[in-house]
Amino acid sequence: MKERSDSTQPDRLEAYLDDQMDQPEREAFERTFGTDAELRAQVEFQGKIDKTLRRLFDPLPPSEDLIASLRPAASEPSEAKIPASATGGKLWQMVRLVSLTTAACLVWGWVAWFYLGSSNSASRGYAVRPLAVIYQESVERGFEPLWVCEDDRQFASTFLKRQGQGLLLRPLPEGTQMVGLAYLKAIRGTTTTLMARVDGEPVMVFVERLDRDRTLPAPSDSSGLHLYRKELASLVLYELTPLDSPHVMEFFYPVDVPNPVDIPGSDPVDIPGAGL
Amino acid sequence: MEKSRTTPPQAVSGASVPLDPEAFAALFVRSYKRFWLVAAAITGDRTHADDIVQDAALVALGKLDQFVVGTNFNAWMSEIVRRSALNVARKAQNRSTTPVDPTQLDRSNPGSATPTCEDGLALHSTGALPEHQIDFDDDVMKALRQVSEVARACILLRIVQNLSYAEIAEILQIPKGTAMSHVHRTKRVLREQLKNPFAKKLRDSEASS
Repeated sequence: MKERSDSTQPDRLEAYLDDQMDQPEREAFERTFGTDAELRAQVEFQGKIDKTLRRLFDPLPPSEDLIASLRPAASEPSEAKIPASATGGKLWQMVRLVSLTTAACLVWGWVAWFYLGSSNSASRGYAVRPLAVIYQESVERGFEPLWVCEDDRQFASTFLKRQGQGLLLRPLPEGTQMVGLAYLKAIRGTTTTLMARVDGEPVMVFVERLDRDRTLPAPSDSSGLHLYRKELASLVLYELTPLDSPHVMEFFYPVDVPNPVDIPGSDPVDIPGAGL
Repeated sequence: MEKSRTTPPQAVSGASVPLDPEAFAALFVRSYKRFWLVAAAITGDRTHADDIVQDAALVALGKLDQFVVGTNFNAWMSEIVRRSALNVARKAQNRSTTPVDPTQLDRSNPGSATPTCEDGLALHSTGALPEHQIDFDDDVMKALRQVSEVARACILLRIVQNLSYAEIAEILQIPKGTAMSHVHRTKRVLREQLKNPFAKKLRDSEASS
């Protein structure tokens, strides 16, 4: 093996192989390949080893049986099917709302049967799901909302009905878009979730009545998510975001809603014995 | 109704809430590959990693009340996987050193606590590999078994899963700097072993004389 006069050369090689160098350093190191054939050979050989390790240690995904054995027996609501004849725009949104409302009714019907019909309802409680899990599942499903409001009145009426206080959003800055609403049971069964994108990143804001707030665990560091809380009038807002600061909750403001519209499928459901 | 009350946003710190099975299943499936790599690294072999991770999942399911939501799920689950893998490795070690009939002793690998990689290679190959590649694969597996379990886990999580050192440190509960040292050192060892294993043995024997 060629004797190296530079005692840091092995460290530089490892740093290069491990992608620990910045761009100028990397380019300078690569220029030495022209004069150091052995260095180049080491880099190529490591590439061969890495490729072999990736192939040898590429696991198959977990089996369906394993996943089934881990999940609870309760069924999930079935995906609402949008008729092929549905068009875009308002008609599509209405059809989607009707289909999803039907699915939501089935879900709430099951929930009512499960909790009201059981003599053991007090002990079942409300299954708290970590916000990071709710977020991740939503992202994996395409970050699709349950419901897209047609106008401000529908938007404000939704929060009035579910949280007892109308809410609107001030105009959002460039790069921040509202995606829609969802009912994800994040804090309570009645929580309303606003889904948004900030510079393309999915962000969720969970809205609930202040007197129904609960202590929520912060996401772990490995989730890459941050949780922020603020109180607004009689409500509490939580923003779950991959960004270092909240970007959406600031824009909510409380409003009166003199003639609220009826929002099908937005009825909040109290679950007896569920700690609500 | 009070409308003027408002508070500035505050970052939320941790609080204790139990994990439900559905949340556990979602978190487990999402990080399944990492747990599989930890299992394969501990045993030095891929053959039983599936079973080890499955067993660990069932153990974890029975211990959900001990997990605090908001703490590091991957680190908690990886520790359970590690213990399951160590049990398997120890049993394999005991089997390989237990006297059996001479034909079985001939097929065993006395220098290793784990079976050969042939079954695993067949499991993961999608077609016939050139013979030199099969030999190289065998050599890589043998060289990998020369380093410690933690070093194996570090290099596999880094190279196969492309995890950051912060993520590796969280999963294995070691400092970031230690994880990086393991990866760099193991890469160097693998290159030396695989390029010229006889030259290395010669250098080692010369150094010790």
